[in-house]
Amino acid sequence: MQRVSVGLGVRDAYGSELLAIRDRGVLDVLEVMIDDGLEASPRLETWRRLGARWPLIAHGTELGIASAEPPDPGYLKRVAKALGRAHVHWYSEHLAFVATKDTALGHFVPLGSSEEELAVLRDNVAAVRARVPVPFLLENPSDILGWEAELGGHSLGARYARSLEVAECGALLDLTNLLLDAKNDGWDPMHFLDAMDLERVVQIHVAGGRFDGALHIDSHDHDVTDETWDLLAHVGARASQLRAVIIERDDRLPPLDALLGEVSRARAALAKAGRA
Amino acid sequence: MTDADERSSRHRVAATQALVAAFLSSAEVERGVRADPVAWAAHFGAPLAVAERLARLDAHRLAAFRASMRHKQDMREGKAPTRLRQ
Repeated sequence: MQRVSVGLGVRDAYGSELLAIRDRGVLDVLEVMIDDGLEASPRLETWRRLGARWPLIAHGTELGIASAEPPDPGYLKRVAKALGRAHVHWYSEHLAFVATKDTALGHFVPLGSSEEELAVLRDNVAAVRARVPVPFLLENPSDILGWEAELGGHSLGARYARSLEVAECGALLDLTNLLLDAKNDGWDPMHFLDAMDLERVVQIHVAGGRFDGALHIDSHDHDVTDETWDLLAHVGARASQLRAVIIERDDRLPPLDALLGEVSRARAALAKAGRA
Repeated sequence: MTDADERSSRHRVAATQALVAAFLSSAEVERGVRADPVAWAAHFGAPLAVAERLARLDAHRLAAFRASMRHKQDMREGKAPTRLRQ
């Protein structure tokens, strides 16, 4: 199977340090947050320079692909322009809604299971595809509410698989979201993976969460756990279309060298799967 | 699916999402739904099962969701992330 690229989510705090890296080989790929690139800013010049050194992929948070409201054509036009400017290879979003006509949550609420919700998703994705000229991936969001926890790992995995099938999209599989939901809701992450078509997995996210004494929170502010690396090796050995693994870190930012150490750990996990 | 079917689907999904979003973002709606899910489901035109599920949501999980929501809002408004020392 093909070698998998490993890299980091670009955050402003690391921009100049990334540009100062001498050995380009310490990273294979970078992921930009496309909603941060819709307006003119110095960040775009940083992205341009980073893109000259590494392939870029894009991740979004504001689209709300599962929303009952169709995607805003004006927003999609700006996203498409930003994606083109950054020359990204693909664009991903969360399988969730983030707002309604009257309420902006600014937070992901996972898609439900009904056929009506799937039909809305299918049409929303078609609207994105009509305007965005790169492949579109859907990510499994963390479900801190345990909204449908009683379904268990197998049914939740099957629901994710069905959503990808209906939308005809590849998967951005967030292993940390998967593990934390499984811990919070008492199901086996392997049951989720067994219910999926792993051939749809194009990208993986990993991050470190925190435990508040009762719940595991997907906070992106700690190191990635050994359990996550083990799961990466498991999926890496089975997901033949997997192309990239991205490490996300949004708070309690360590020195860049520490994140590059996590890149090395991802590569070690993928080596166990014959993908490094 | 016809255009009319699609509009109808979207309308029903919109009603569900409106109830969920109002519950998640408003302590007043939360209290109301927990006390009388039937009335709030009717008010939003959402399925009763959704209101009943919201009424059963664990309070700690809801608090964690709202804290995460505030944190994301702070970041969007430009709050810098913390940095660990070397």
